[in-house]
Amino acid sequence: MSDTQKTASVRIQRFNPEKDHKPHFQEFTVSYTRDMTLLDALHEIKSHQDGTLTYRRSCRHAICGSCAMNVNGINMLVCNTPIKEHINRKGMVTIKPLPYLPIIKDLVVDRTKFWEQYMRVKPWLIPSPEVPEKEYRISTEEVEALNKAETCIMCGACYSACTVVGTSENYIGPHALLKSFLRVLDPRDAGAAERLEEVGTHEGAYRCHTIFNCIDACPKKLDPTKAIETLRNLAQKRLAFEDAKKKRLTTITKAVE
Amino acid sequence: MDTGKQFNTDVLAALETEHLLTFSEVIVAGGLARTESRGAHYRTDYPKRDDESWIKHTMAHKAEDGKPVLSYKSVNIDWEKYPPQERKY
Repeated sequence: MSDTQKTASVRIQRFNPEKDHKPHFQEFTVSYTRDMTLLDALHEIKSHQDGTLTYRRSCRHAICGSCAMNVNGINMLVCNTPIKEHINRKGMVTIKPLPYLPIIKDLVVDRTKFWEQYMRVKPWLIPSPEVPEKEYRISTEEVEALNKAETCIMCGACYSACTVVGTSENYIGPHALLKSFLRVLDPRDAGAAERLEEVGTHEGAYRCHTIFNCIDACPKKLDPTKAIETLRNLAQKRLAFEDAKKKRLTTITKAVE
Repeated sequence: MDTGKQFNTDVLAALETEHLLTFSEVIVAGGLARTESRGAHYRTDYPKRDDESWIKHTMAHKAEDGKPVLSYKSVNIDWEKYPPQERKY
């Protein structure tokens, strides 16, 4: 196990809104060890080379969703990605802000639209007026499906990897559709039909072209495409689905069909 | 150093550091005044919890010389339903 220091050139897209008309690239030389992450490299540059370098970061262990960036053309969290995995044969790694989103400064993008679309699907729980006598029941398969939506950290990697997001302004986007899926299938939620009406439109589930970019981009290995597919199917029978869910609250023995 | 007016994360870090320092002073002053042990606040010179004198919130404000000044506020407790007791585990 060697822990020798090597050097990499980190090519970063810069944009200072107070001076620049358009973004440009700047190269920094950073020495790295095998356990250094891309975020460590950014910290190294900001602390010792150029304090004006601006990026969002917070938790440093892939749970806050602040540091999604585009590295060598792929969206990822820089905090849990070792730099050595992305250095090319010329010893270079390129870091850009998330694509399709307006740039505020350097690697910081404007996420207003992202959050607007998120709020549009009512990401909160709409509680049922009738509460079961004991607990809400849920099948193992459902738990697995929901788990795959619940661990989303809202980093925006999928949203900004989606070419449909890039071309149609009002597309709800994989992040919000995944959240909608989570609520639609949640046994405690009573708003399935209402939710499916909102997402079952040309701006929602039907706008998805199943390009699968969101799956590739997701740092949590979630599956927004499958969730969108499910929403699409359920949107066809939203009232029947809601009835089935309601019925299930009182007589749960099987999973919702 | 970033001297820009937009999204200046250097200013943010400086402000955060200032807050950290201010609150470390408050925490140390409050901890020294609290002559007991309670939860994560543990003192070898006062290893026992003292409900008689210390069921109260520590409040702090800044004096003119910048030092924290302590005062105390009573805790809302439902004595009937949830009488305070020491945790033992």
